[in-house]
Amino acid sequence: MVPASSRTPGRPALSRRALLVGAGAAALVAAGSVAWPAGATSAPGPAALRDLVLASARRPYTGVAEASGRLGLPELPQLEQATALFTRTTRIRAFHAGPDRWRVDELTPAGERDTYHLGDTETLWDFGSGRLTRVTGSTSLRLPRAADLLPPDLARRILAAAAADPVTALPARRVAGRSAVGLRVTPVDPDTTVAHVDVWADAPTGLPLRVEVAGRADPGRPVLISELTSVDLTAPADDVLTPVLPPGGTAAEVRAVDLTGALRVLGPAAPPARLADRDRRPRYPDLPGVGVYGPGLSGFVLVPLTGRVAAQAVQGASGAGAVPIEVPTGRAVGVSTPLLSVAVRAGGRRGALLVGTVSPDVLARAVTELAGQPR
Amino acid sequence: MIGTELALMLRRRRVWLCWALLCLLPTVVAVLLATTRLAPPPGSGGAFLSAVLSDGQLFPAAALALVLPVFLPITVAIVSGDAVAGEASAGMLRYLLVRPVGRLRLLVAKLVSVAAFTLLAVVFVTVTSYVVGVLAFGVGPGAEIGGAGTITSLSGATLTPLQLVGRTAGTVGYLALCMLTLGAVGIFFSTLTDSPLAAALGVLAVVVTSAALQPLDAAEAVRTFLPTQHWLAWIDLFRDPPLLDAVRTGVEVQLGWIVVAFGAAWANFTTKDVTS
Amino acid sequence: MSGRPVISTAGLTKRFGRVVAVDHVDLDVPAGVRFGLLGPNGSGKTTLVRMLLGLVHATSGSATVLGEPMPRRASTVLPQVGALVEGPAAWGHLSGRANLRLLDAAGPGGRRRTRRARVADALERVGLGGIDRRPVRAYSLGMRQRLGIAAALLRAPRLLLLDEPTNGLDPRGIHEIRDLLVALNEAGTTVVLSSHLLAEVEVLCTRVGVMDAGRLVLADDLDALRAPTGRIRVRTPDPGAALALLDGRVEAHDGGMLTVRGDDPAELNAMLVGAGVPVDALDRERRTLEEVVLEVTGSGSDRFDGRGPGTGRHA
Repeated sequence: MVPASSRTPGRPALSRRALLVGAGAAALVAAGSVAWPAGATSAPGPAALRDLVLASARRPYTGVAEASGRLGLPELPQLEQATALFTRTTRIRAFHAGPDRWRVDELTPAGERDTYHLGDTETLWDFGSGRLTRVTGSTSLRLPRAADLLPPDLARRILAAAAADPVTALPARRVAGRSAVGLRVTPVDPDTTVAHVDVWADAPTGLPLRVEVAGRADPGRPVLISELTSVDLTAPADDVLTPVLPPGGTAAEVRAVDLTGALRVLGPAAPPARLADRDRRPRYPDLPGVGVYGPGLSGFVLVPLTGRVAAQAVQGASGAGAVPIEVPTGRAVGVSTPLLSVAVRAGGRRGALLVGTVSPDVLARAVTELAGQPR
Repeated sequence: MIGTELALMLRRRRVWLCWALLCLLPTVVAVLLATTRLAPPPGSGGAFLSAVLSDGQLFPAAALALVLPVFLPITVAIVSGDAVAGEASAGMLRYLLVRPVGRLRLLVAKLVSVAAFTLLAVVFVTVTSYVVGVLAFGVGPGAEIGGAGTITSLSGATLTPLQLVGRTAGTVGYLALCMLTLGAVGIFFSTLTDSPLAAALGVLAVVVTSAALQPLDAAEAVRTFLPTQHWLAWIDLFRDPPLLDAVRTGVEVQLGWIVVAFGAAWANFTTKDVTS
Repeated sequence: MSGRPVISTAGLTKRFGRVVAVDHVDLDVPAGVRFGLLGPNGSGKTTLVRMLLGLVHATSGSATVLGEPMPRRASTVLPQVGALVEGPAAWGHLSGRANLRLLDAAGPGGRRRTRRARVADALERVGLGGIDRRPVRAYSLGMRQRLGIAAALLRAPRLLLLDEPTNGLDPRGIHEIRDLLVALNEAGTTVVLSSHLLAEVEVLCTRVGVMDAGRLVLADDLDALRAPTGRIRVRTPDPGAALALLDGRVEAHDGGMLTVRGDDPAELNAMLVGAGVPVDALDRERRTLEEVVLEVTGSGSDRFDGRGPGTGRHA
């Protein structure tokens, strides 16, 4: 479990937690954002439903969703927006006209943070600061945001990632006043931390209305639930999708911030092609040091760190109850949450962070292999 | 009886004191904010509180959020706890009943007067805080462009004066309804005891219990039914387009509470022996 | 003793838990009387009155008031009834006049146009015609009592049910209220008052009921209760001569006071005077109300000397 103690001043808790959570969250997004070719078999029953769900991205809708996570990640002052998505209940409003025309509002008790996505342009509105920010460029790896937790997005990501895993039918239920048919994906990999993922989708359209992710630690109690509490299957009006700068608001323009900056990735050391018996998946051209290993729901991501940051992380994590891992050189620790496992290795000028939905043993093995490699 | 009840309420010093105190708290906050210009950072503090510095017209919303969690419930508890128990302890209950005023009619009159109290309380807070807000912080840039009454919604879009009035009216009505829930509970407690104080404390106990259960994971199954759960749903009215889901749920839950509490009050009171 | 009863109860019983407050009361109050309900504290008078007014629900038995069942027809009965129950009450923050106006407006049957006049008239009748705008909480006990009676008189009721109506009044006030009640009664209003003051009932009422430990132990006309006992009381400065003369008829003697059996004082007087026995005073013996009440009641409920209200009943 994540060390849930110690805000003692003086300890480098902030960076450790920032690392832990930021990367952990990134891993989820990365695991989900890999687009796999959908198995285009039109089998009846749950398999057909899976296809229907995967093809539902063009389906317009307007709705309000509630996503609640019980991942047990610690709160982080700087990354709380991202971690809160997995530790608390988030209210999200979606206006979805199509894959490239949507607006998603994260509704907070005292304001909201809106994301407008029109074509290639993304615009963010934050009521608290009164700032309308235009984001240019894009990145293949970014911090998770409210839009990623919308049942349709979450379900499509997971189903796309777990295309090889078997699906079974679940009893239909009513969600947001509509009858929804259900399917369950059970990962076959014995090393994954995901017990199963349940998706309920609107029967005729295949629009996912509810997603539950359960960990192996406690399969009866999902650690992430996202549900559309109300939904309207009509396209939103155009003016709703257009960001406006209110009088008095500030307009800004920034380049897309990717995690490479936040994590201070070191140069070009290429990730190994195989770690812990898992093959590396196609690499990100803009993230030379990052590697994603393993298929679907049993993968993990490798993020290189500077030696100093890694050492801080190891020290902070072991001080807060992480499990030490025996490695040939340097030091390493492992942390596990109901859904995510994390391992950090520090040694010399380089370090590495591994996060994934795999058992801690797999990450320990990967860390050991990394430590044994000449770099 | 309803007319009598309203006349009685409006002539009680306690009622006016409650209203004055409710309006005083936001005024004090406004004065402090205006002199120090130290607003809480965005995202923390009361809703809208960080935004009022730039637009005083948002202050009614901030003021309502300020008095909502504690002050408003206390005043409603005092007034509604007094409803039947106050008449009983003053000895007037027996004289009203032999006047005769039907027992259901008496309860309805009490509910109407509590509703009038809550509605007027919310209206007074809204009106005074609008005036105080504009005086202390001035109108925002929206108003300078679109005229007085133009504000920025939470979603960034600009609300016209007409929209602002409509949404403020919706907020006032919604909050009055939320408080009427406590009023109905207070009237019920008020029929159980001859002590107005005990009834008022009972209402506050309900509020505190509900607020304590709200964040509890173990209470998830009952959360929707907690009366305090939906108190902040009115904030959704200041989004654009307005989001009515939570408000609708809130209205349903509050109406449910009012019906249940008033039904309990009716069931208890109409068969009760009045020995006060 | 005329007209059909304005109050009639049959087996009226009220239990509060294990305590029987009113126990099978069969009470009839004929129209036009001034009825005094006597009894020690805790004897059930107030509970009985509350049941007649529909404030307390009977455990068993029935009651009719003005010919209608109570509390079922309360909405038609009560507008014709004026009541003072267990002391007056008022909204303390309002003036007496405002109290009466609001109370009148609260229920049916108070016509709006005549309200001001009726309130003024009721206040006038109880001697509060000149009250100012002071709030009731500044009133003396006597003023509150008068205000309570005024409230009962507001709609010219056919029946007045008054609990301890002269409580807190000075002797002059008591006299005024007594005159007022007699006047109202002579104008046709039936007056029922409950009291623990024997003297008050004795001078005001024409009919008396006595309650004890929840039971109605006596209900009769005052005249009947105080009928001659068949004895004559004679005071004489020469009791020896009188005893000698009336030997056998004297039931008791105490100094110069003799109690003599006989119905005709004139005959006895003639006899004594004829025999040369001087007579200072001579009268029919009548029982006092106090004697009657003490004879039929046990101890009050505020006595707890081993003969509580439950056990202290006369055999």
